Formats: sequence, structure tokens, C-alpha cells
Amino acid sequence: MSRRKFVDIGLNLRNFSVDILEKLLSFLKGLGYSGFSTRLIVQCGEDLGKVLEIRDVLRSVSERVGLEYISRVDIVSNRKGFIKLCLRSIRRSFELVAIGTSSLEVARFAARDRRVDIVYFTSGSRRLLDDVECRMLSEGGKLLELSLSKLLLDISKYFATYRYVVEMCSEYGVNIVFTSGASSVHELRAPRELASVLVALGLPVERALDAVSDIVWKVVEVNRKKLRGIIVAEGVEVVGKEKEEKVRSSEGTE
Amino acid sequence: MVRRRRRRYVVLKVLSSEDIPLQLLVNHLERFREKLFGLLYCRWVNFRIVYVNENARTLVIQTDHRSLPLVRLLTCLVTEVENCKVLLYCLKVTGTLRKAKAQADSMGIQVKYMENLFRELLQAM
Repeated sequence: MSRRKFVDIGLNLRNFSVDILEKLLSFLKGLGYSGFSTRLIVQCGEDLGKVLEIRDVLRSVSERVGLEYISRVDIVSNRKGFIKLCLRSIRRSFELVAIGTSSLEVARFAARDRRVDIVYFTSGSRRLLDDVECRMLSEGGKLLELSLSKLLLDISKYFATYRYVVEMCSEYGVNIVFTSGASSVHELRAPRELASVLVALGLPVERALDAVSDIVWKVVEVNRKKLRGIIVAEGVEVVGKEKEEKVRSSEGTE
Repeated sequence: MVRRRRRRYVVLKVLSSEDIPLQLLVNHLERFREKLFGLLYCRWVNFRIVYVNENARTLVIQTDHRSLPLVRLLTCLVTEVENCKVLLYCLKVTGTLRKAKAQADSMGIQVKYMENLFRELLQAM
């Protein structure tokens, strides 16, 4: 049986120097994680070049520390037009694309659009996750993100909301991904501790552990193949291209 | 015969911004347990602090395999004790108190490194 590769894809790392970033990632590795990702939020009028620059810095620091970096971009908006515009320009530069919204219209759009991987709700309202939304998320193979940082803000409010979300997702088979959402070192948690929150919310232990490990890696693996041109269309995979690439890279190193 | 409840000992490392007495943390955990699970459900969660090592800054909690996720949840949701930022980090889960105590008493290099990193990062952030 292989060991689980845990991942935290919801870190909020902003304005940190490379030195601090390196220490923070070492701490994350010590907690038992194999990979991480940060929320690089794209907002109206923001320069995309800056986001790509941060992505490259994070990648180089993570290589030094020995953690796997998953590039992720967050589009937080209630305007469908803006989200469409962003998706067109950034989808091919990132391994994960997340949409954060508090609008029902955008939530429906995110559940339908094939370029979106993760959906999360910025408000604590339950009305966004109804039967229709759940069915769409499940059919589209999207991930629904929940984060611990919100729970720590107001336990009583978010515990009830999260319990409802977990119940709905279990009923419709929507994959949940649980992240720490940490913006400081004392908000970081070990992966099994994160999974225990989902267990308390009503998810079986194995599924809770999957929410902080396997579910994310599966999506990332497919997206990496898409970005490398191995998966050219839905259901069409170029056989042997992966092996060819490996041979080429090994020849290059020799 | 199948034992319905198997004992588990959770070894916790206490990482904190200041060196608060661990007794304060123990009291806080007891109070927080009642708050989180409620007075009625509280008795169903098997939770007892059986060992405290002030030098190594570790705790050993006795529980059973059914209550283990809930004990993990409890430790996960603790962020502050008396205005001091705290992170409870699970070092090991064992089946015997002897092994748990041995783990709690040993100060591994990796654990010390984590402790130093935590303080450095808290100061820098």
C-alpha cells in the first residue's frame, strides 16, 4: 500500500519575502505535506504578469524546499463577463483554476464551464448550494472547496453551514476538497487534523483523507497532461508521448 | 473476543508564541471540549490528559479509536490560549501509554527544528 501524498491547496501567502516563504514551506513539509498551492487571486484591472511572476517565485522556492508546487489561480467575482475574460487568458498558464463567488448565476456558470476545476462560496449562505448546483458540480467533476480558516472565524455559524454542505455533497457525489486557508503559521494544521474536521462533519474517514490528498492529485494529474498536450480533447490521449518525453529528458541530462 | 473500544494515546507537541504553563492549556482544552461537544455529548467523547511534560512541551491524551477524530478536531480548533498563539501538533498516536510517554519524553531533532521555525515565523510575520 502506497503512502498518501497530502496537499494543502488553499494557502493565503501574500507579501512574504523569499526567506520567510522558504521557512514556511519547510514547516509545511514538517507537518507531513507533499504538495501545496496558494491562492493567487485575480481581480478586476490587475496585471496578470504580476501573478505569473509570483507563480514562478513560488515554484523555485518549492523546488529548493522539496515540496511539489501546484499552480493555482483564483478568480473572485460576481460578474460572469469578467470571469469569462480571465478564463480565456489564464487557463493555459495554471494547473488549477478556482472560482470564488457569492452569486447564484456565477455559481451555475462555474459548475457548467469545463475550464473551471474548483468552486467555493465567499459568503456563508446555504442558498447557493441547492440540488441543481450539486448535480451540476457532480456531473462536471468539479471540486467544492471548504476551508478551516472560515470555521475558525465563527465555529457555530460555519459548522452548521459546512454540515449542510457535506450532507448535500455526499448525497449527490460531489468531491469535496478541504484546505487550511492559512495566512499565518499558527493557522496551519497537519493533514490528518484537517481530515478530522470532515469526519466530525459526517464524512467517512477514508473520504475525508481523500479530500486532503488523492482527489486533488487526480485533477492535477489530468490538468498537467492537458497542459503538456498529452490529452488533446476530452477522452483523447496521445499514447506514448509521456514515455517519449521521459526518454528525451533523460537524454538531455546525460 | 473483539474489543469494542481500543485505547489510543495521542502525543501532542505544543508550539506557542510564549512559554505558557501547560496547565493553562490543559484547563483550556477541558473547557473548550465542553463548549464544542456540549455538556450532553461531552461524556461520549473519551478524552483524558494523562501525561504532561513541561520540559519537552508535550501532552499525552488518552482516548479510544472511535473518539480519535473528535480529539483531533478538538486540538485542531485550538488557536489561542490566554492571548498566546498556540498550535497543537500531533506527533504520534499509539496503543500503549509506555510508548506514548517515551515519544513525549524524547526531543527529536525534527521536533526541535519545527519549534524554532514556528517561533521565528511568528516573529517575522
